[in-house]
Amino acid sequence: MAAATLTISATGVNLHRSEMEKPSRCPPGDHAPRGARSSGGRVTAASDITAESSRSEAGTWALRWFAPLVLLALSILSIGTRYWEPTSLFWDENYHVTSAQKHIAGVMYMESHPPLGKMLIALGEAALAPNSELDTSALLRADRVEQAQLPTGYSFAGVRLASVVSMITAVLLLYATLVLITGRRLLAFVFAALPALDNALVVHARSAMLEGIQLAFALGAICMLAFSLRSGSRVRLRHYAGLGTLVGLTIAVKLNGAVLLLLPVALFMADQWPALRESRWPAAARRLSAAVPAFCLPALLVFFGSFYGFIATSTEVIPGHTYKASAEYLQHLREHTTWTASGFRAGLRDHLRYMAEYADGVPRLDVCKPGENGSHATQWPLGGKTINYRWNREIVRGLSYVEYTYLVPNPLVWLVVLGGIVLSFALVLGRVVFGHAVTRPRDYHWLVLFTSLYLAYFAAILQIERVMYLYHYLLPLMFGIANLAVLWNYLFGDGLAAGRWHPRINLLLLLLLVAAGFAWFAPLTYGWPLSTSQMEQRMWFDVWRLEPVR
Amino acid sequence: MDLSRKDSVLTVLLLIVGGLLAHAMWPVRVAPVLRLKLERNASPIGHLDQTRTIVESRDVFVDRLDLSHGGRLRHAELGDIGDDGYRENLFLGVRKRFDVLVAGDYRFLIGSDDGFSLRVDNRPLCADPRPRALSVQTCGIRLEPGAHEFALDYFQGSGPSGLTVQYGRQNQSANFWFGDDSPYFRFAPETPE
Repeated sequence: MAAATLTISATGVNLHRSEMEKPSRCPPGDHAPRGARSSGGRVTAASDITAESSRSEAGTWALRWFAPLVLLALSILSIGTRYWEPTSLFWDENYHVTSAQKHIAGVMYMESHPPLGKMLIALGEAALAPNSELDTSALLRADRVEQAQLPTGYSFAGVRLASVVSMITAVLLLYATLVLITGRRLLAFVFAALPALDNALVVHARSAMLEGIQLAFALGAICMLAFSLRSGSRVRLRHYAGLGTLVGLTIAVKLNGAVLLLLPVALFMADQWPALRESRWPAAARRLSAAVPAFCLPALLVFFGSFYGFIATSTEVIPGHTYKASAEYLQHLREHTTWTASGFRAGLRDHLRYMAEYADGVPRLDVCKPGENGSHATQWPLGGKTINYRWNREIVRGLSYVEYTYLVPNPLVWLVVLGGIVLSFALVLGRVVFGHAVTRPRDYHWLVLFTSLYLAYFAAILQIERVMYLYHYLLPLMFGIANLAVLWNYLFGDGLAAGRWHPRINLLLLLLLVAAGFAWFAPLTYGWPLSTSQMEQRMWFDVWRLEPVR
Repeated sequence: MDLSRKDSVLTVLLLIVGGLLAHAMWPVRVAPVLRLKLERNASPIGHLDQTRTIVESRDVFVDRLDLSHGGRLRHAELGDIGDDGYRENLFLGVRKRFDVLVAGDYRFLIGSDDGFSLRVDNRPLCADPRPRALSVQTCGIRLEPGAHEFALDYFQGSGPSGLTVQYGRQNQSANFWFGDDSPYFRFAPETPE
């Protein structure tokens, strides 16, 4: 039987598996590297882990079911409650609602993002059909619809459904991931609750936008990696395929999900570390020759498959809305032959070209521009810059009250995530540069992975010249939350494993603080009225550039 | 570091964060020394003594008359006085009984945007009842020990606003915010209803 073992190389840090000579005795959910040998770090964590596993709370029946059910209820409450409000468009909903309607009507359009996210938004609208009795034809004739163009009584229950359901799923997937990695259900519960209690994630998830959908696939991919590397099982090609499918789906929603292409690299290194360490290159190459297609084929299939589904089914052309379709593509559209190989090829080429040209045409960040909502990526971890998505002012008894839908972080989440990244980075530096010993190799290597994902995302984003916005940080924020959970386990896991009450109280205290932060900023998330003074009380950091409507 | 100490350090850190959080969330309050009577006029205000058509009124309690920040009628901690509903076409009145501890010649420094009038013991002291930019006017008076009545009326028409009142001895350079106790004046707190 093979067991997941994570060790440290002398020259760097790697996530890897090694063969165990004896069958693993780890109970389900406890993935501590019992009996593990370290290669470079010379760390043996057998004795403490044995005690740890015997006392771990992971096996308790109550937490096994109670925690995810509470998490589900919490997510539904925070993300799903009256998600169809506000009953007006905000931010990119003006684009995505029209795109979704075009999918339903089979109308061709071109847009800057791959089609999968908008197809799922359309699926929600088609499933609930809350507007089936309304005339929504105006949506087909516009690329960006204004609120006034929506028919009276238009419901957002359908178009926002996919994002809401996806984000609730993402929370549960994060919980599953953390259970797989740490084996601690209480810890997994607390940290999986953070996305459900983060105001920025919640306000974005409660909209017809792409981030919530993407995060579910991204968390699914990370969960797949954790599942592939769980104790007591060998990495199979189907794990590469599953990972490829989920990474492909993530990228098919938004291209920034390409950062997850680091995951198959991590999986391969964990899978083949013994061979790599012992320089058995032919064996590693053989595995690589199988692993690459096992990952890439499903990834490409779902990515281009989503395009195929879109191109094949969206054949109606609204006069004057041919975008940059070539004559060949238009011919296929007229003949309704976009489902053919030549039709798909022509359509795909035109759509990809449109996406590239659109990205080139987006203006750069101009902080001097009045009302600029964009922000530099270096400000994101602190929450800069927040965005006032919409507001509605009312005067009640002479006092001005404003209902906001504001993209504002829960600073309790964002700041501890940033602190976690800094600590993890320091830990990695200490190990790599100074050769400090690592006490929990498995946690350490997951820290390396999550920190790498976080930093790689920023490295990529900083190369982009077009204006970017705070919500582009939501994906690395999830990496940061996962990193924080593993870091917590690294620092306090021994106490948790020993069944001591103090670290558990600390976990719940953290959750309490996060919940308090969420409640404080909840008026900006759910549109509860605030006076100017109440809004000013929430202007905690200058970098947010939070502004009351006067 | 042993487990217990590590957990204790974390608890302390979390409690510090909790304390900061509570401090940031705690409703801002100041001592209710002065009652400001705000009245919103239905029509534009061009003169302090014009006929008033009050559509709404409310009381706001502050600790001192330091209400000019950022070109707005604003308290440093409480924020805008009366919030946005009272930003323009506003009358503000302050009536306050205060105790003089030391007899002498005093001065009041009234800064206002727009106009004001000040009476002490029902005796007109100084006024500028028309719209104006923020400027400070010095008004002198002889006060004996004992209780005295302070009556200030102010209005804000449109545009920037602000109101400040300080007091001090004529023969000394130090000034105090009206509402702050000093060796010369004492202010009893009001009782908000």
